[in-house]
Amino acid sequence: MKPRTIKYYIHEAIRSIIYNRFMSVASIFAVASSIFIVAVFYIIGANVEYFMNQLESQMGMAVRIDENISPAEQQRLEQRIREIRNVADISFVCRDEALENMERTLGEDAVRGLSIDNPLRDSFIVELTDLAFHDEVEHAITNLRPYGVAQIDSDAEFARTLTTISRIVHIISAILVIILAGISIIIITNTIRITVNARKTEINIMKYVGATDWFIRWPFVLEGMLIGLLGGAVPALICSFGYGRVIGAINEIPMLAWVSFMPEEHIMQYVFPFSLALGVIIGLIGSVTSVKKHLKV
Amino acid sequence: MIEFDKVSKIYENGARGLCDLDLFIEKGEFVFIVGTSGSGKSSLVRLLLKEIDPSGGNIFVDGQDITTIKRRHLPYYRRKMGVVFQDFRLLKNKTVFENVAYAMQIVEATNREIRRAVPQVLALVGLQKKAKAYPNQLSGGEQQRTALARAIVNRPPLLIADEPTGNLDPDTAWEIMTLLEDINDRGTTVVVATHAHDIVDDMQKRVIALRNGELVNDIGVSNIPEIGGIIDETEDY
Repeated sequence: MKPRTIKYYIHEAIRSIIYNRFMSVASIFAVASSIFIVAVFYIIGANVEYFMNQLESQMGMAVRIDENISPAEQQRLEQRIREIRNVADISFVCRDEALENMERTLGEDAVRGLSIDNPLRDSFIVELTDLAFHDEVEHAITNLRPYGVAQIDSDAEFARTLTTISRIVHIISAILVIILAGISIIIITNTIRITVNARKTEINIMKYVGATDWFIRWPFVLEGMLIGLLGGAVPALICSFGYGRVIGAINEIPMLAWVSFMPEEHIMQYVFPFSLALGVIIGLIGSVTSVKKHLKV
Repeated sequence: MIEFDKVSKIYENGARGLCDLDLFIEKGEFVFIVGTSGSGKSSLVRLLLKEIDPSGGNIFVDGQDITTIKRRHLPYYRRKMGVVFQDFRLLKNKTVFENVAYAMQIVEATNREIRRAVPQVLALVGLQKKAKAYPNQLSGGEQQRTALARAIVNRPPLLIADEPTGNLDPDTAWEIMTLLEDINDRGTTVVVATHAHDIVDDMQKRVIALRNGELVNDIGVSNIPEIGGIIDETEDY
């Protein structure tokens, strides 16, 4: 393909968008609104999953250490726990620190008198790579009783419920995004098809004059991709500028101030390219399939 | 130039387009194809454009059996001919200049070649002052002249015109026919399918008359006075 032919294709695509501006704007609007809905569902799904992960990370288990073991044995126990599969991190909390934490959580009155004879034990706080492995890790730590594990404190039932909810949210958001993306492709393909159908005479003429299929197809394909790109850019920009403001506004509500949201950069890292790429792909599929129908002359 | 060798065309609905047609058109000839509706004129033109394939027989254009041309090679075959239709078939979003230039762009002509050839051909059809006009700003005659300019800009050896004057008033129709004659004088083979018997009578060219898909008369230039007989035979084409 010669450079001037490529230049011609690009020129024709832009020119055609301008000439058929009403249909172009309609197509851009259809692409934009469909991708916006997909992007919003993606953001909601990603945030619910993020929130669940945050909860999960706070849901470690406390391993109480037998007070009769030596510091060297305690170090070896820590190493043994660290080596268990799916243990993400382990931190040591001494009994005094544990009491201070308790005081902070339950209030001074609740722990009054305990500082003289602290009944708490030194502990290891174990974080998991995934709460789904809770039972497996708990079982492995229980097996370490001969090495100085006195007791394991964890909320196994809550961990299981959280894992189930997290899985359901993950599946639902994935299904919704796929369904919505599919619906968007159908809607947009049809919009582009209408645009191309309105120009079937034009394609017909090109065929009679001796244009090859690709000579006819390229400007339409570029036009479709450009419409898709513009349509994808609108929700990408709305989400980029809107996300930070929306989560800021939600966090200003006293009741919801504790809710943590996915960082803005993280969302944009995916939503921006995803919207643009989806737009371009939809435009490409729509134009290629629509033009194909009219090329058999 | 063009040879139809026992060409038949039966459509899917059973309608007969052509029946065992044998025909030979020499290079540089000007030929009218006449006949009533359903006589086979349109089938003949569509077969020449390879818009449809024959049910039987072979068609040779410039020595090439076009019945064997593969779909992907079709554009290259069509570039060897210029085509003019009754409804002009201009690209409405392009100016007169651009419509004509389009035929050159598809053969990847350079901008310099386009800038040189298009004004020349527009001057030939008398549209040099309308180069920047869009089709909807032109009269029927001007649109047909634009279509003619597009058809000949690549200097094809063959020009096919399907009812080129069907949508035009008599004076404009004559202008178009005169242009076709000029083009023929420059060496291009011209095949015109038409209903316009007054034009056919006056132009004194070879006339091929069809009826029910069969050749009923083939009158050479030297036998033109007999043309009235064809009119009777083809029932007022």
